[in-house]
Amino acid sequence: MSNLLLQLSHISKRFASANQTIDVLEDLNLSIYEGTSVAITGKSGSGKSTLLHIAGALDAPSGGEVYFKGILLDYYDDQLLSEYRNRHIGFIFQSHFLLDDFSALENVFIPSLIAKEKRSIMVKRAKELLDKVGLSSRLHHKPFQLSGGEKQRVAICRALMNNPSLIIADEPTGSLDEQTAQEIEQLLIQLVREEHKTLLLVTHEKQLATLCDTSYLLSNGRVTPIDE
Amino acid sequence: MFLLKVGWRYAFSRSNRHNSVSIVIVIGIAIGLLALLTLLSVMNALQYEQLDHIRSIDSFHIQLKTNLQTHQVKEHLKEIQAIEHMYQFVDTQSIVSQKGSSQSVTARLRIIEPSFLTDSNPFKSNSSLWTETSTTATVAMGLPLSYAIGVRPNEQIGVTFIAPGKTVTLSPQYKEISVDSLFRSHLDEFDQKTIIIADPEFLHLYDQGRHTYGIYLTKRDLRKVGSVVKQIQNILPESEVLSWQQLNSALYSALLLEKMLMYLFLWLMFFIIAINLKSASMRLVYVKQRELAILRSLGVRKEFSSHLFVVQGAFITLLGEAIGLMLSFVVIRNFNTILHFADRIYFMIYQRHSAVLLFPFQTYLGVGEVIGISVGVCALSLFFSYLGARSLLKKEPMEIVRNE
Repeated sequence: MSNLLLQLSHISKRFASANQTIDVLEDLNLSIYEGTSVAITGKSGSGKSTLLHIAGALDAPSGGEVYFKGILLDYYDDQLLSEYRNRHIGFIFQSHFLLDDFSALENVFIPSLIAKEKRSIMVKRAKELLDKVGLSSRLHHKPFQLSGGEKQRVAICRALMNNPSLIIADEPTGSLDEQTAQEIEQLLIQLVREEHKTLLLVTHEKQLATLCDTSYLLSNGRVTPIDE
Repeated sequence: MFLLKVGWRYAFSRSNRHNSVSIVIVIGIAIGLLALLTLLSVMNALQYEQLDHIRSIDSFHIQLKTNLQTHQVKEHLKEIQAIEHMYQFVDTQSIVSQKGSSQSVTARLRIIEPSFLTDSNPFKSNSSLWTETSTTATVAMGLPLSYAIGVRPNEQIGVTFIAPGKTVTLSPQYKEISVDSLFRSHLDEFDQKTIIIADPEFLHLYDQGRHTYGIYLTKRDLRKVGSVVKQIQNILPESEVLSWQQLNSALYSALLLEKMLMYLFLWLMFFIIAINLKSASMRLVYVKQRELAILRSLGVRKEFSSHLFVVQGAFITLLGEAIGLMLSFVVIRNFNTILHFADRIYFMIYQRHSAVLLFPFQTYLGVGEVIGISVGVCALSLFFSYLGARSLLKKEPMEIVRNE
């Protein structure tokens, strides 16, 4: 059995507004092992994205613990959490979340720029990644000059740029048409396998979920395995 | 470098969808700075002119009281390069009447060395002197005073004044003299009350006791009046030396108070600009919150994010200030041309010229004032950019974009 990479233990998340409180996650437990791919499915509003954000330290849980390689993230200060997001996690959001003011190439190597890596090395790697996803001719295009599928490919390259242990993808094909979605799904799974990454994926697409090693259903704030 | 690069792109990139916010802030800062500097330069000009008239006409730049004779004083003070002119003089009260008339008025009699009315000194450059062509001015009367007693040039007046006597300390003297010139300065009060007699015979009446000398400094040394006073005191320790500020202390205090109030109003203006800057800077940060969340998710630290918005604010502020300074320079340098242009429009509307718009302003702005205001605007802008970023950084990255 491979090593435990990420462990979510008794996680709860509560959103409170002026007149109501919503418990999105309640006593959720999930373990993700290195080199595996995990899909989370569930209805809209079931808390799938919230779960991913907590796993990636983009949001804080209301209760419970998140362990990364056995270390509790609560012990991390801002610097260590930033380093965790930068070096160990690669995010792919539903709506690509590229930086409008930067070209495709720059968007891809920004995580390495933040990590203060040597420019020549990061440009070379970014070009290689963009080449793999078929965007070598679109290096200097700004996001507004790219199609939805192209933007999502750039986002996938950016997630892989710093060679993170864990790729977190939040409905990466949710905003794309069916054909493009299938292409991106294939590409994501292929790249994750090629680069030996761990994948935590939220999706509505059953087809995409079946491509992963394990699938879970998120319902009533908890995850339950889905038997094939 | 990354910080500067991102800051610059966030501020001015053409693909930036919030570019217009940056441009509006740049324009706001430029106009604000233009308004502040122009107003300050005009107020400085008015104050400078007022002070210049007081020290050039009413009093001298420095007044010196000593027992020494003119040639001795000149010999002692010849080393002080800042001194341009020096005149022995006496200011005394008198009763003046037109010869043969019973109508009389009280006036200040300034008895002074003859060269005072012939040298090109600050008094001459700040006033107009009308003299009969064939004569050299020796008795000059303020124009309003001549109207008051009905005297025209070359007419005789009787002057009663007090001078040291031969057997008594002071004795009244009566002299009949011919008014050979009239003057008009920018100080009406001085013109209404003063007769200048530039005649050595009159000065001889005051030979006994201490003499008073009026000193004018060169224009470039005008600001060093305090140090010149100290130099004179060191050279002539028995003398009594007073600067124009000390001689007109009440008026000088009033002008200082006026200047303080002027600064207060300027800072109030500045405060209004600061409120606009604050809301603009906050808006700049809020429109970038999505990018901030993305950067945080990519591993950017909170500290970096706040620096980023401060750098972005700095770029916008510096550009706004550069434009504002250039505009201010052009406007201040051409202020009279602008006023004359405004007067032309005024003339087209009302068929007469405006006395206010034709007033010859000599706008003035110190380097320190320009730097102070520029630094103030910049610091305020950066502070509010930082405040805006800080309010966002309290949130978790995904919290920032939850409602996007």
